[in-house]
Parts: sequence; structure tokens; C-alpha cells
Amino acid sequence: MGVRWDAVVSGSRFWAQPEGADAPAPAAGMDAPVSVQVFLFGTLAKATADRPITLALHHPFRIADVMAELGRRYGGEFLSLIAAPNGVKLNHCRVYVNGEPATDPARPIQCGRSSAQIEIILLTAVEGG
Amino acid sequence: MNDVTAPTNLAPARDDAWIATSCALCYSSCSILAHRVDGTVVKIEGNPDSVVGKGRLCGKGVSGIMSHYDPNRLKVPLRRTNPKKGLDEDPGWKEISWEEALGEIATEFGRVRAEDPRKLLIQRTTTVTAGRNPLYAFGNAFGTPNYSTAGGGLHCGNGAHLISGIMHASWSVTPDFEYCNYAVYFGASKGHGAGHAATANMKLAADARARGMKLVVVDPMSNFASAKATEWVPLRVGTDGALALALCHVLVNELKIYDAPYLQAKTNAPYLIGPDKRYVRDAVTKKPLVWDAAANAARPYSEANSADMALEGDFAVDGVSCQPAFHKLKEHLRKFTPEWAEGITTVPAANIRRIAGEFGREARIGSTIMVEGVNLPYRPVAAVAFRGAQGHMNSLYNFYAIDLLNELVGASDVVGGCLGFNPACDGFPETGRPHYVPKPDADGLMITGMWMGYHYPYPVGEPRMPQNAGLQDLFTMGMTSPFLDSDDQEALWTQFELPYRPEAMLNFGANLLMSIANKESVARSLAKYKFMVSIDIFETETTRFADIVLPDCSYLQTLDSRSNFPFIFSLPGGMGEWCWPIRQPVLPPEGEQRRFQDVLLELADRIGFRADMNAAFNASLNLAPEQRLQGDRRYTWEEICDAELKTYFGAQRGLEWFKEHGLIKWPKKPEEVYWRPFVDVRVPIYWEFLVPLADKIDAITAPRGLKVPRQYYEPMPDHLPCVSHCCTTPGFDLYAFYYRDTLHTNSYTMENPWLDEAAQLDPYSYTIAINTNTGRGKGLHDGALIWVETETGRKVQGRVKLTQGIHPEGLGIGACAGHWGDGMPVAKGKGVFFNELLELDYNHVSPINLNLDLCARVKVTPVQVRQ
Amino acid sequence: MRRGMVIDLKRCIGCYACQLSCKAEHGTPPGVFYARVLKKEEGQYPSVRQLFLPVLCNHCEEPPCVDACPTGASFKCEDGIVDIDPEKCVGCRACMMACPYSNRYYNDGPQHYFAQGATVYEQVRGARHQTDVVMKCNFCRDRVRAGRDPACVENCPTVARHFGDLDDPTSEVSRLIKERSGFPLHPEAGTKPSVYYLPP
Repeated sequence: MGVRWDAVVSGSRFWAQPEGADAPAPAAGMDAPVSVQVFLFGTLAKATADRPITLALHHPFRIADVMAELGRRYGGEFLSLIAAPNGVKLNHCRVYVNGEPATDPARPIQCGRSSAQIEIILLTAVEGG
Repeated sequence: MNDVTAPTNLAPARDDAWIATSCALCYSSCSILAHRVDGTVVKIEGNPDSVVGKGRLCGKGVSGIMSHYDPNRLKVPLRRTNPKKGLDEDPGWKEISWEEALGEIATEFGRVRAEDPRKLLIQRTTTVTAGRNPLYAFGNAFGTPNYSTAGGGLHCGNGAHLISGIMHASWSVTPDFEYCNYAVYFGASKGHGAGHAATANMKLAADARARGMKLVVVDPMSNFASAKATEWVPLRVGTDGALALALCHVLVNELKIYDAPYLQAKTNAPYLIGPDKRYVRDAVTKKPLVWDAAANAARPYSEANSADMALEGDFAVDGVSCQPAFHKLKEHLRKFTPEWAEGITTVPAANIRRIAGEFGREARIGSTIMVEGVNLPYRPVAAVAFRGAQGHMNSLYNFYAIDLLNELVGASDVVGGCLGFNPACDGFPETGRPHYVPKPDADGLMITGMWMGYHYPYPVGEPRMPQNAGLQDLFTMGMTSPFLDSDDQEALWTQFELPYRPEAMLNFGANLLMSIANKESVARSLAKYKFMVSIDIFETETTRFADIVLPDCSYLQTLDSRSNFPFIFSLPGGMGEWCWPIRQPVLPPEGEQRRFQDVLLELADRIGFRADMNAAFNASLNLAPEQRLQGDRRYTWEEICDAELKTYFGAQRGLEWFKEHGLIKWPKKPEEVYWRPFVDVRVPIYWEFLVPLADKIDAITAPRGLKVPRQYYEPMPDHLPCVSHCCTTPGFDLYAFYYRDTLHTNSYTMENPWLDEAAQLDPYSYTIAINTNTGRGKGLHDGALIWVETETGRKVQGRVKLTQGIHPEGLGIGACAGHWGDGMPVAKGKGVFFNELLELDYNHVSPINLNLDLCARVKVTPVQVRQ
Repeated sequence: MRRGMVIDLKRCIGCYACQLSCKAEHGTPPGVFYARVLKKEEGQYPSVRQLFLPVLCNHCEEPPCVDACPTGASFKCEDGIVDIDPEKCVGCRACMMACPYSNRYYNDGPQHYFAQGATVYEQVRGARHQTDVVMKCNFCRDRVRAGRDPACVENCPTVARHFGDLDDPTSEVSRLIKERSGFPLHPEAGTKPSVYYLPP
């Protein structure tokens, strides 16, 4: 008895993040222009008749840059669908870069020199049961 | 393989097959084996290979065959010819072809989508859990934020699921049956025939009982869990929170039993709280500060050793006087003495002290235990609540106060304690999928790793002028909303400037006319829809408001790739195995029946948003890059299910593999089940975030005439009475409440003649339970026909069952019975329609989480002497 | 050999799965229950307890129903199972009068559940049952001979039911009766039931 709760499992790495998972993108190709195709789905698609739309960004870019650019193009109402007033991406706004989920909008995208395809959709915000 | 009508293993010659699939008589979705002989299903048994039920089924599960073969099932599409909609209006059904039906729906929905997709509301039953994804993918692609699960959520989830999510990263909580020694249930039936993972939990609870686990059941009625309890604690309806607060007070202030190391390391108990009720934050990092006793200074929580964090004391940080959150809580609890609680709950103060002491001592604070070679904290006590305790105005605080019992003694997601259902999964060993685990936010508080929707319970959303018809984006602690059906919806929409009005409804299987509140209110809201489509297996009372009715397939005729995923819903908690079963067709459709998944895919094509639908499936099923649906290509439902299965279990285990094997399973690890010691997240014992939330909501609502009632947004729980507690009119002396019967699911199963027959023989299923002494005092006897009437004149009729097993002020009714429509003739007239007694407006809703108040103050009068 | 059942009332939660899994196993017509659950309450508020009592034919060692049957339709097998041969039953119901447990049913009501008539399923399952005869539990004789437990035993969600040989002192049922003071219902009737209960 009397064992400190947090000391019981000290040293276990079971749920630790794998090394380097959040490492920044390699420096190579910094600031190179990159063409980004953005596919907007569902209610977001109402913003524009075009799908995809093409954005010119600098490599490496971040999802936050994409969101900001979309906000500039389509206005605050559009931005409010994908981000909270403090700018944080809403959890039910899902973003994929070349088919891979992008969870951290601040993380530089490692898409190489070729163009990136970005898909954005809003999922169900509420649920009961 | 993609012929939708091709059932598995249908051999042309002698057909005799046992097919592994999933039940859908309730949301637990247990694994079953369907025995098909020459094209007829002759038997349904539990699938012994599966973790979900382990080869055993409840009475509903074995009876599903009678629901499937019910001749009253819908078989052809119908169009209404009577433009008027109302409870007494005959829709004047006319049979139409699928081509006509789909064409008309595509036109109407297409118009709505072009105008404003938010005008579509998607409504679904909670019974078919796997129905979520295709419907939500349709809605996501269509572009509407408006969904509802009828009475589901409104009656249970807004408190239970929200707080299970915030405190346990899961949809619901359960005792760790294998190790728990002392469980207290508050209006819960986990392990006694209802709730999530119902059948699996029945065995786990029986094992625990045989092992000697003590079970204390707090409930106004002694029927299911209470019948098996070590002790039944009857209380006044709706006062569970007051009892829990008194138990917390005794633990902390009288007995001084609490798990300080747990509170320091795994909760926000040490966070310093200023006079404004907010965290005192570091000027630079903005992180909440704690008092580091070693350094004798305030430091960000992330920079102090938890063992050094002060839990009590008066401190000053940059001239601001502050105390740790635990200090605040301890002081706050002082007013909730057992004597105070006795007056509210009727539970004797001596019993409250005794139960608190038993709970505290049985928690064995500081102990550890080895589980499969891993040393873990051991706290074999659990306080568990569900629908009963939280179905009230005070929904949020009731559940919060009850869970505080677990938090105070450190019995949260550790061995023997209160477990969330599977909040952390390290994935199938070959693929590492699915992989999820709770993580901390910037304040160190827990964000769930998995959720049933995509708007997590924490961090709480930022309130805004509502875009959702349910106003959940304004009242952001709300999940399912009453305002989709309430009497005051138009007033609220006007008041808060909703920029559109719902016009079209797509209903999948929900009978909301029966499952929400009184039918007149819901009928008025239904009649407002310009166009309503109902996909169902029966012509329910609600379906009679539809413009077009589409006949769905039953669970024995359909396909779902994820019967029990997300695992936080219906996979049993605790050690054992992970298990992923599928549902597959055993029989072909009958008549013109079509699977709703195919119908939705077809509608997406016709309206022209197939690419959006593909993108929505990619996102909602989290498909692996190599399995993602491409562009606007047409996919069958089989191909979509195949892509999901391959995503999680590898290219060699697609739909064909699962059709043959039925399921896949692999062992759980102690670090997954008892994840909390391993993951650096904290849970709030002090809900600091409610303070700014109230400010933000009020900033929107107050200028528009609605003052946020701050007492519901205080950071520490309180006892707030229901409307029923405030009734002083003479004669209205009973608290009516409903409970979930072990024989029935929602309003669905009263139509099943085996279950109906059993319910007719049960003393309680279809009757009105009243305390024997109370009833005799009113001259009532068993079988007497009575009116139950509220102050506002709402009333229902039923037959009395006198019992010693109910609180003298209680009146108990089995939920969601009393069908009146002809579309379900077996169910018609059976049982009592409790929900008729419920008002449906802002004043009967928790102003913080929008849970409906599910009790009503009533008087009873014999029918023969009614005035 | 004497086949018998032990029902653990501590584990039973009165969920009716036995009653309904029996119906699913035998496809019995409306009003006929080879297995049932009775509910009663004991005590006064607040010291009250709901009791659940699952009942079925007791397969008595000295079955009065067999003695009462004038045609030999009711009979006792070598393994202790008491059954009815519908071919020999003339529906006189003498056995029902003789059974002290009211666990026999006369099948003369409707043979299907829905007003529209028998479903495909009921046609397949119900075809085996003759009308105007007495029916009751036969311990799932066919399943048991095929090496499986009776349906109510195999399905019970709380694992409250056990099946085995009461003549074998080492069997699980014999052991449970001995260790946990198992008791039959109405022993005073003197029929020596083969269904035992373990106290709640």
C-alpha cells in the first residue's frame, strides 16, 4: 500500500510517440514554389464552382497556410466553417494531403517538389445514442 | 460478388448454412449465427467465436427472427396522396415504383441542396448502430450539419456520453467487472439487460456477483440491477446528484479519504484558481499554474513534479490570491452534508455516511496489482451512472458529481475501477490500425482519442450565432437537440437569427413521434417539413408523416463492415480481446425492399454529388491511402465495405475473407485497457472552462433576450432541481419516470410477437408501477385502470401494478410503449406511452447540455371516476 | 444416468432469454412455454427484493404425469427425460391436472402469431407440432443426444443454467447442488424433480 499512482508505471514507453513523428520537413527545397490542388467537398464546395482549385504556395507549406489562403479567397464565413474564431482547425473538418490525413495544421507538409492534392470535407459534428 | 441481392453461401441445391453476422435488435449489435435452411432462417444463436455476446443472446436477440418475418413489414415504396399531415390524417398511401420514388426524392433534395443544403435534416434511429456511417456520409456530402437521433442522446447521451467522453474518453462507463469489488449504480443497468454491450455485460456482471462484488443500486425502482444488488437505495426521482455530492463530501471532508497522488498527477486538482474562478496562468506560456511545494513557488503544471503540487492552501501569485482546484472543491462540498442530502433525496444520512465509508475503504488507495505481468494501480470501486441519473434538468452536474466519486479515490480507468469502454487501442498487430489514444490539450486536459461523432466533447466548441437548427453550435455542451422538434423552435430560431429553416427530412428508422416527448409537439414540428422521406421496415407513427416511404432491408438482409466499431460503443470494456465482426446478408430482399445504403449511393448519383460522397466515406471511414475511393467513380456498398476492412486488416482480409470468417479478434494488452497510468493526460475535477463558456454564450444570447442561467455553468457541481421538484399544486404528489425494460428496445420491439407476449406476462413491462402503500392509500389495486396527469393536462392511461419495490413518491413506466398506429398492429395499444407526459421546450431542457427533463410531477385518478 | 438441470438464482437476472431461446428452439405456438420466468417480490419497502424464478418441466424421477396418462403418451426415458409422444396423446389433459408445477400446455390455440397467418418461418418450424395435444419441455432431447446442452442452458447470458448427470456424483450439477445447497421446487409433492435451484 501507499505506492504513488504515477510511479507505478514509470519508464513504460507503451504509448510514447514514435521517434521523429513530429520532426519538421527536411530543409531541402525550402521556399520553392509549389502548386497545390485543393478539392473542397460537401458544404465547402458551395464556395466555388471549381474543383479542384489551384493554389500557388511556397514549399514547405502548412495546412494553416492553405486555410488562410482559402479564407482570403472565400471570406470569413467560409473560414468559420473550417476553423474556430481563434484560428484553430475544427476537429470535424478533415484534411487529407495526397490521401494521408493531416492532423496538425501547423506541421510543414512533406510532399516533395511535385504538386500536392489536398482534400477538405466537414464531417458530422454531433451524435447521440 | 457485387450483386446486392446475393446472400452468402446460397447454394442452389440443399441449402443448410450457419452464417456469422450481427444482431440489430438493439444498439449492442451482438454477434450471431443465423441458421438458414432452404432459403429460410430457422434459428438465430449467439456466435461463440465472438467477444460481443460470447455465443449468448438476450431475449430480444433470439427473437429477431420474428421481427424479420413480420408480415407487416414494408415491401413497396409509397407516396402520400393526402397533402395534410397530422396525427389524425390518413396519408392516403399510393404504391409507386422505385424509379418514381427516387426521381421525386432526387428532384426535391436537389432543389434543397441548391438553395441551402442546411435545410435538410437527417434523422436516424440509434438501434442500428452501423447505420450511422452511410447516413452521415450522405449528409456530409450533401452539406448539411443537421442530424438527430430522435430520443437517443436527448434522453441519455447529452449527459452520460458527454461526461464519459470528458472524464473517460469513451461513450459510456462500466465497472471493471473482472476486478471491481464495490460498485455503486445510479440509474444504470449495465450488466442487467440493457445498455451498451448489454449481453456481454450480463455475463461479466454475473461473474462479478458470483465472485462477491458488492453492488449498491441507487434507483427509485427496484427491478433490474437493484433486484440483484447487495443493497437497494431508493431515492426521490431526479436527486441522484445530491446524493453523490453528499457522498463526495463525506469522503473528502469527514473521512478525509482521497487519492492525493492521483489527483496531483492525473487531474487538474492542483491547478491554481483565482478569485474569478479561472485558472491562474503563467504570463509567458499561458499554462495553468500549480503551487510547487518543493520550490515554494507557482510554476506551470508541466514543469513541476506532481508529487510536489499543492492540493490545498492559500497562495498568492503576482498579487492574485488563489487556491488549488481541489481546495476549492473541498470547500464547495462542505454544504452537501448527509443531513442536507437526506432532505433532498430521502436517503437516511446514516446510510449516506456508511456507503461513502464503504466506497472509500474498498478503494484501497495506494494499492497495486499485477495484470498479465504489468504492475498497475488497483482501485476496485466504481460509481457508474447512465440514463436514470442524468435524464433530468440537472443532467450535467448529476453525472459529473457521480463521476467525482471515481476521481476522488483514483478509480478511473485503472484495475477494478470505473472504465470507459475501450478508449485506447494500439491496433491490429499486423497493420497497427485502428490506433487511437487520448491526448492532452494545451492545458494538459484530456482530449478523447475516438468519438462517435467528430465534434469532441472536449475542448468545448466556441459558441457562435447558430448555423445548426438544433442550436448546438450556440449551446456547445449540447449534443442532440430538443429544438429540432420543440414547441418554441420557431421562436428560438427567430431570436437567434437562424439564417434558414429546415424544409426536408430524411428519416432512417426513427419513430420520433414516440421517442422524444409528447406527440402533439413532435407532430407539429413534423408537419412543418415540406418534404419528408422515411426509410423504414415498418409504417411507424412517424412514417405516417412522410411524403415518400422506402422499404428497407432488415438486419438479416443487409451488409455492414463495422458492427461494433468504434470500440468505445458496444465492445465490452475490460481485459479480453478486441473483436471486429461484420453484418452480412443471410436472406435476399423481399418484394421491393432495398438496402438503404444502396439507396443513398443512388441518390447521391442522381443529385450529382458522388465525388463528395466518396470523399465523405474516405474521411468518415478513415480509409487507408491505397483504399481511398477515387474521384466521382461509382462504388457499390460492397466495395466500400471491402475498402474499410482492407484498411484495418490488410489487403488479404477484405469483404470476402470476412464473409467467410464473420469476424477477427486479437488480445487486448493491459496498457490498452488500463491506459490512464501510461498517458500524460489530466481530467477536470474542476470545470474551469464552463466559466468563459457561459460568458461567450451569454454575449450572444443576452442581447437577444435570453440570459444564460449561470448556476448551470458554475465550475463545480451543485444540486439544481427539476421542474417537477418545484411543483406545489395539491394532488400532484407523484414523480413519474420511465425506465428501459429488459424485453424491449426503444419503440421497436413491441411489434415482435414473442417479446410482446413475454412483456404481457411480465408484471411490469406494460403497467404503471406505484408503491403498494401509496397506491392503497389512493384506493388503487393491481390492474386498476388509471389516468396519470400532469399539471399542464397531459395524460396517459394504464393499469396499475402495486409494488413494494418503488419509492413512495415514484411512478414507474417501461419506456416507449403505447403505440397507436396501425402499421405495427402487434405493438398497438401495448404498454403506456410515457413520453406523452413530457413537455418539449427550453424550460424543460438543461440550459447547458440540452438534455430533456424526463420526469414529470403527476396525479393519478381512477379512470371510472374521472372528472 | 439421470439428466438434470441446476439453475443458479444468484446469476439469473430475469431477462427472459431462456423463455425466448426455448421458443426459438422449438417454435412453440402462442401461449405455450416450455420455459418461463416468474417474478415475485419479498419484503416491505425499502427492504424488498425482486425474485426471478425460471421454471420448466422438472423431469421428475417419479413423474405423476406419466402415471396419470391413460394412453402411455407421457413417458420417462432411461436417461430420466420425461417426454410426450404426440401420436399417442389424445388431449385428455389428465397429465396437466397431475403436474404439481403447471408446466404442461395444451395446444389448441392459434398456431401462428400474426393475424395474417403463419409466416414462412412458422410454417417450417411449427409444422412439427400437432394440435389438440399436450406439450412441454423435453430437455431438448434431440440436441442433448447430439451432444449439445439444451438451448436455454447454452444461451443463458448470465451462465445461470447447468446441465448434466445427477447420478454422477462428480458431475458439475451434482457438485453445485452439494456445494451450494441446491434445492428443488415443492419437494413436498414427492415427485423428486430433476431441476434444482441454487439460492440467490
